[in-house]
Amino acid sequence: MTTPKKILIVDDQPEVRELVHVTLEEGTYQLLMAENGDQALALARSELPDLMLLDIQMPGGQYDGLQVCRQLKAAPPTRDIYIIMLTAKGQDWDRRLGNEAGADDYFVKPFSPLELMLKVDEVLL
Amino acid sequence: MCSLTTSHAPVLIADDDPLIRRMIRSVLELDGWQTVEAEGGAEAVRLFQRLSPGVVLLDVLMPGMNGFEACEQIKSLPHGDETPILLVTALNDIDAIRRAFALGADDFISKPVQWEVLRHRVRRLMQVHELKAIVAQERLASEHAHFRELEQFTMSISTQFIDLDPTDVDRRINAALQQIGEFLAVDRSYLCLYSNNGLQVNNSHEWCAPGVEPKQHMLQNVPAMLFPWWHDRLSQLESIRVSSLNELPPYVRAERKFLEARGSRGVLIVPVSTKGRLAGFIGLESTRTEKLWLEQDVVLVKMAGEIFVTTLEHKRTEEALQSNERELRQITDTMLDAVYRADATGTIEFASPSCWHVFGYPPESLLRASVYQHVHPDDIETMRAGMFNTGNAEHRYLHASGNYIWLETLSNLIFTEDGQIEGIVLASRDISQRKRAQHELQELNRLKTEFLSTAAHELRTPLTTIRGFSEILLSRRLEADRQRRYLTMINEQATRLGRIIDDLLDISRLEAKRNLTLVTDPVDMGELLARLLSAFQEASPHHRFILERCANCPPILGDAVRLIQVIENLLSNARKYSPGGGTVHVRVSARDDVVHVSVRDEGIGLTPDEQEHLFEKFYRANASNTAVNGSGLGLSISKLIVELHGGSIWAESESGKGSTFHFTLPLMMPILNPEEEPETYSVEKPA
Repeated sequence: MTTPKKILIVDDQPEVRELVHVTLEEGTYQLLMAENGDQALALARSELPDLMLLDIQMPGGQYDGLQVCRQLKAAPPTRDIYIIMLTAKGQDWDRRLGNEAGADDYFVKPFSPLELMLKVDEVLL
Repeated sequence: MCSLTTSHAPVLIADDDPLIRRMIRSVLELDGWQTVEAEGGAEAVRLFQRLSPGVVLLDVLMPGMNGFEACEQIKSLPHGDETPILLVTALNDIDAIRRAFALGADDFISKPVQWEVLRHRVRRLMQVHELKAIVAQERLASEHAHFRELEQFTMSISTQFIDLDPTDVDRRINAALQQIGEFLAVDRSYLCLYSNNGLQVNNSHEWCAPGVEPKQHMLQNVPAMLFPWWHDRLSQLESIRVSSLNELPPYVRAERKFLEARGSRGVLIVPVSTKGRLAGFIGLESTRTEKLWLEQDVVLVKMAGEIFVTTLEHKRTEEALQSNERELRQITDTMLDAVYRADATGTIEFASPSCWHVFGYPPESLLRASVYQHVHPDDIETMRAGMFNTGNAEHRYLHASGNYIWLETLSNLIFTEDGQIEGIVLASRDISQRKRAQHELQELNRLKTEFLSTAAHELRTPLTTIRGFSEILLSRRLEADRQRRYLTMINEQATRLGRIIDDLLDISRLEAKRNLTLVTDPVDMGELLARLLSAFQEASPHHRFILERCANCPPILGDAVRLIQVIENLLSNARKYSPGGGTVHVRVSARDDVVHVSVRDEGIGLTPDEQEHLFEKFYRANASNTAVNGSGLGLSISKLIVELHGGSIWAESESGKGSTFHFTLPLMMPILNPEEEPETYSVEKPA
């Protein structure tokens, strides 16, 4: 019996957090929430989730999503967390920024919850 | 018998027989002549050269060079021609006599010499010689005197043409023609010039002696080939001397008719050339008598002609130069760009009047200064590179007002004939406005891009919820209360999205209006606020609204609808940010030249960071608080509206202690009397 996979959801908008929560609740995942960059870093380091859904723009707090991603990817064990960036900006250079920060994947808002679910299942199962 | 006793030239006696020599000597010396002896022909020639005797006696029969040879030689020497030679021949030697005369001897005497005859002949020859000498000397003297006169005359003419003002030239030429005419005693003197192509001739200046008819009109732009004979000779720079009409060959018809028509009996035409080409000619005519033209007359006239033509050319060049300068000055006077010229060291030699307009300094103050004077130190290199490479540079310049302006300077190097840099010509234009506009445009573009990307972000956020939850609802069966909840969220977010879009459109419309004048009517802010506040009080059960207003607020000029938008925004913010309820205190007063409105709440207040970004687009203070929802555009719209009215808006706040928002609007007319204390109204709920 495998331990359930842990997913950390980070977004400053409560509606978005709820949306992602609802999207993933049918799966056998343990869902954790964070509101800003600081919380995200703390939780990621203490809980070591298997996957993170990380919003790029997060006003308030010291770090935005890119910085969080860069920090986590800089060293083990957080380096192994699969990080999917969520963002409202879909320009090419935003993608590149995401790539440079070390993100593993990228979803542009408004995204399709079904697609997101399929992706998560693909990564974790 | 010797009447001529004072110093005479000696008599040269040449004979190989010394005895004969002695005898001739003593005879002649008795008559008072000085004598010199020569042994032979060669010595005679030598002594002749040295002593210039008055008469030479040569014995024909001499060893070595004989008398004939000596005679021949002496005659070919200078003065030999003039000196009488007496050959002493043998009696009845006809051949000798003939030969003697053939060789130029003047006389002969045959041996045995008859002394009386000898004395007589010597005396006569000496007289002749001396008379000739006197005549020659007098002629020389008179020629010399004449030459002197000529020289002085020539000098006086040419002096008159030194440093001549171009406007004086014609007058001088006419005066000179008169002087020449009078000096050479002619009746008419004139100057004719050829056209540039050499095909036409024009009589430009003429002088006539009193009583002589002017004939200048006869030669006004006539074809040169009318006088083919003359033209042919003039083209070869040959002077034409016609002392009397009879001299003219019969086939020379045109010229003869011409002279007859003018009443001329003799004419001297001297060509004048410039740069090796025929430029014209000077004519001298004698109407009363025929005239003998001397070589020195031709020389004088030729010189005068050259002076005339050179002077006229100089005048033409001067006039062209002045006209060019005038044109240039006209251009630079009316130009708006600063035009200036510097020498090879970069020192300004000339600065146009427009320099004042562009640089702010008077042109005179720029002379003798460097072109780099007043140029911004960081831009000197740029300007230098422009001057020597591209001919174009943009740089800053310290205007006389004390500010730096941007200039565009175009320049052109001036080179000497051998390729050295002689100087540089520059033109500078003030492009400060253009630069400012460029910067503004760049800034505007940047802001626009930023705005668009932020706007897109703001639009996507509610959309995420709408799309996401609707897809969830469609793909799953959820319990009824969750269904209801998500549908409500979708609904709310859709509404919010609509509001954001409205605000975006509003802002873009208002921003476009920045450069247009608002439609304005007089508005009483006190009245406006009173009305709005009662409506707000009705809709806000948890808050209390108090209004303090002046009794008769002086009107402002403005757009009432837009101003309502501002007040509603401020009131709504006040309510939003004091979620626990409380009092909202609104004050309207008039002071000096503005109306001042303030809205104070007792809510959560603002941090210094929030205050800094308050009026930025999409900025939402305390955004994580879900009660605070809005587009984040309200305050930036309000700011736009207030500023379009010519007023200002700002906020005062302390975190946790509430906020006060202020704005002012300019009055239609400034207040002259100090303001009265505003009255306080409580805006009560209707009963």
